[in-house]
Amino acid sequence: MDPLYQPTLLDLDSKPSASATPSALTKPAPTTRKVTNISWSYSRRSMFEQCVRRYYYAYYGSAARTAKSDAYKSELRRLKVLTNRFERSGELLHLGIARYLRAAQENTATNGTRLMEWLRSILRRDIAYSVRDPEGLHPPNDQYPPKLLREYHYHLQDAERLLEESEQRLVETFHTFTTHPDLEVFRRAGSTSNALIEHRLRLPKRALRVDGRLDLAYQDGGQVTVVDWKSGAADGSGDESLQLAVYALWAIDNFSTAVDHLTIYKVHLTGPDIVSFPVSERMLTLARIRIVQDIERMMAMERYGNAGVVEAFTATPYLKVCTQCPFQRICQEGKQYLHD
Amino acid sequence: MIELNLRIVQPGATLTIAVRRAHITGSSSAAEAPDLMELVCSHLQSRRGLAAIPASRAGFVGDSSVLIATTRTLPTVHLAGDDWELDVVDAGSALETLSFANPAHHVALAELVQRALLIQVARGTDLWRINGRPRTWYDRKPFRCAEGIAAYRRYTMSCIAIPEVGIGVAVDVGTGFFTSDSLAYFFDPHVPQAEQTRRQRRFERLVERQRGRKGTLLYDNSRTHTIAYFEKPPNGVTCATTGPIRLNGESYVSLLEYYRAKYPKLTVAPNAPVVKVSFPGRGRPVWVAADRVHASVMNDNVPQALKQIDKIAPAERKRLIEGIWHQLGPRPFGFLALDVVDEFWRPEERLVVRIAPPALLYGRSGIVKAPLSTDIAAYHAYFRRRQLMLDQSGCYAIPTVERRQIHCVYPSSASEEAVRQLVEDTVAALRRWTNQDWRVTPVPYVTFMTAVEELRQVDRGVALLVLDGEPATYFEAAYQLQGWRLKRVTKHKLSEKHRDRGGHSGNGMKRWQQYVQLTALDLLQQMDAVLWRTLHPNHYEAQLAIDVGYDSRHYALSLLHMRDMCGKPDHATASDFRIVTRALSKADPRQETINHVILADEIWQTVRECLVPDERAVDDPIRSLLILRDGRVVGREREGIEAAVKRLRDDGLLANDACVDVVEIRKDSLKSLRMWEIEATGEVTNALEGTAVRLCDTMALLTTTGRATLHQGTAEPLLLTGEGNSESLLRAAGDVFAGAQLNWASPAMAQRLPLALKRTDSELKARAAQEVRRLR
Repeated sequence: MDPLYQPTLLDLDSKPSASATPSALTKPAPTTRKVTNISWSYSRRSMFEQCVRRYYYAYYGSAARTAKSDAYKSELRRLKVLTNRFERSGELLHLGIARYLRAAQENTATNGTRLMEWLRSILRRDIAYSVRDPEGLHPPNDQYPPKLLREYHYHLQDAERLLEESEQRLVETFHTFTTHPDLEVFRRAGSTSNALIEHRLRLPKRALRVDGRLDLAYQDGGQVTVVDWKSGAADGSGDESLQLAVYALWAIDNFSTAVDHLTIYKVHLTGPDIVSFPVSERMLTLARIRIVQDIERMMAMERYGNAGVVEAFTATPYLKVCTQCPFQRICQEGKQYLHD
Repeated sequence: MIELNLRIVQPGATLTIAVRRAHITGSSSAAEAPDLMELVCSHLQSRRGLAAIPASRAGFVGDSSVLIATTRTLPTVHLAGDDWELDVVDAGSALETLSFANPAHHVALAELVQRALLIQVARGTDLWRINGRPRTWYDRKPFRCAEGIAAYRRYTMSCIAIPEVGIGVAVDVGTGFFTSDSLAYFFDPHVPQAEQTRRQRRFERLVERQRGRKGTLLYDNSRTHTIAYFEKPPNGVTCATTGPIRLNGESYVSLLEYYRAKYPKLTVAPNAPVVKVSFPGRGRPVWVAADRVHASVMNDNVPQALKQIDKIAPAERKRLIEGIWHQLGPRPFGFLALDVVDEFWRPEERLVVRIAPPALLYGRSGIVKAPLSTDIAAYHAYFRRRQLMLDQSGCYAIPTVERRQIHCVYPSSASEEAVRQLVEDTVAALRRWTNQDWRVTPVPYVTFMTAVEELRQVDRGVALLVLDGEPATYFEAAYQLQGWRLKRVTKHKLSEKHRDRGGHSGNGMKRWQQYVQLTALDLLQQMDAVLWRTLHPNHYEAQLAIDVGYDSRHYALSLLHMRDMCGKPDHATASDFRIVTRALSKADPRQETINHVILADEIWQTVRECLVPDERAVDDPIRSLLILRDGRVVGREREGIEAAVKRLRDDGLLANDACVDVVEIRKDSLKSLRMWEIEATGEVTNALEGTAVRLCDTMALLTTTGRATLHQGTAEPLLLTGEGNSESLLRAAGDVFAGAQLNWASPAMAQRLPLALKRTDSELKARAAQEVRRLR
């Protein structure tokens, strides 16, 4: 079952229109409780923050069970599978690292060069397919079909060059991972049998419906380490990362460990830069509350999403958002912003 | 005689300005296009000293050229950015004239004059400003320093078109606070550890890091001042050791090299510490020299010695503004050969309206009559009687609750004595105003969640919470105690007030009593008590306030519905007066506008919540409605309001023939307008509460606070913008003023905002205080 449709673990107020938080002046809350289908994930909240119209397209308009009256349903579903070069190369980098570590866990000889070639071949296959069928009208019926790249679908003039750059970056960052001496500690720890690789993230003990995947986690003696791979360069924002704070919440539950025995790293493979994330009880409280506040905001839009009231989701035309949005074709405001 | 802080550009209503037309040509990234016109005008203003505006502002719809206030031919100007490039080319056509006689030119003329003024301020004075805030300027030096905080005079300038009068130039004065020491002092690694800790804690307090704010900074690169946000302390990094930096397509081996290349006159030592900051609207955080950065300090955090200096009395304000005009000299608009009238604008008496305060009705039919004259003594007595009447007659209506019990939830670490005193005094006040007995259950806690568990064992009720200043705890309280009526006080404030109380100064005791009164009055409001109401009906039976929080993450609606008691106050009931306030999450914080679909639904829901408990609602719908939008009705909000009104009429919640007026009300006047009274003696004082000046048929300035109760500073008027005629605007002004008399939080003082807007404002502040921000 899609986690989006599982019953909630979040106990919130019943009034969907008013926010769940009782303000100082509101009336006593009714005794009934609302059940929400919303599952928080970092990518979901990021999209919500960026543009709620895109959020609608991704989570309601293109979903099979919601917004059934949406006139663009079939096209939205087709566009939803588009992936841009950043997303795809990041995905492949993570795939390569996971393969590398799993092979090491199984004591299989790991050949970084061969893995790198494999990753390149996947990306090239994506490109070939995207060139051949940019509209995505004839998706291959394979077990692992190639991805349709947004750059080709929207006929970007320099799509070929952009993808070449992405391939180059993928090669460089993966090479950094497999060879850089500073990362040996993570390669070795990730190769141990108890290391968790690309592990599904859930927070059942906290009555928060959270979904996600973390890159690497392991316990060495009493010390727990969580690692998040980043394909880009460090940007100095590690201290206030909600994503890493959520990993910390998970690690504390999963390993039954204390804050003092937990280290979280953001590893930027362009560099590389290893940035540690300061974990504290206060930070964990803030993260938990931030998640609840995010879900509240999403809940306020849920009924509109389910009913397919796209106009309730204000588009936020913004260069960096619109140029990477797979739904650009459908979004009038985005199109107008980009082409005016 | 009323006077405004406006000087009229001569020759007034016959003003004309000659302009040249220029076309914009060239290639650009289409995505940048919407901002390009503004960019071109800003560039011409800051680099070429030319006042320019998009032609569309002068009523040339769809025209993509710019109008420039110059008689000379414009040499082609080339502008380029990362992904755009354009030329501004003189159209070669004859000069055009913008004339004040043509109302379609009013906006354009006001903007051109404003730009010309700002060019002259930049060139002809030694004032400085912050990037991105072109209308606000600061004195070169602080006028007062205390305990490491420097207070600067701040001047805000704007222009407004007043029909039949001309273009008015408004200058207002405020105060900006910055730390005297730079961040190099706060993060100096060479002082002993204990001192380092003390300084860093002080920094955190000053910029409210503990409240979840990043910390607002002022970065001075020797050429410009820019607002930045604190990201990271130096941790040993210096200008020479930052590592490579890439900015605007160029690479530098370190910050030191960047400074040497870009700011050769700036003295920066290689070993100078750096701090990481982020700039609004730009990408990643960057290192900057710590000694070029000072912290911006909110008024709440300035030391006692500076607390009152931002309260500038009208006479002093007038003198300071005159000083700016003096600095600007005989040609305040530089190349635009215009002058202003030497005196501030005094509107004709026909434009000044004195709105009388309403009579007020309390419990047991206690009435405070309206003042019979505009005599200041009568107004003094009127405001004084409000408090006396509350003490004597009690609240107009108290909701029926079974148990008069308040749970006082406080941390064990708080002073038991302070908590006890707060509770005793609060309960005494409640008894006085409700004529009912109240009991208090103390709930001390070590961790807040233990208190939550304890409260959950009993029915929902009223709680007085003593909390720390953390947004997380405040949110936790609101979230975990849903359905409770909560009044929060911070432990810090409680201990400060209680300490004051025990001091030798009589003021300390007075401040404590005010604090207790505020707490008790707020508790009553949480319980839906109606402290008093206006005796007679207003022009509009209901007022709906629409407000968006400062960071656009929440919005709030508040409906105040007052039925006419048909002249029988003895038979008044609580249902004659209701107010419902709802604060809601806003999904699209990047935009100020409220989504029209959601706005329509939530207006309907708010009216319904307010009326449906009243069994008369179906037969007795709202007969007239004043909608007050704080700020502007933006985006498609108009559609949302219209859809809501239609639905309310269809559902019988609003009478079919009900008059509905929408008025924009600016809490923070964008136009920096002030008014004061010139007495017969020549003395400059605040205008009396309720003084309104009609600027035109659709715009009025209203002062709700004033001379009778404002003892420090100058009243801040509200700017009301309607869409009907002068009559409906004055009706709205009258009701806004009447709404402001429901100043339940401070009976003896005039309140600036009408109750409905005050409620939305309070709710939005409460929500903002709960929001976890820095994690993202």
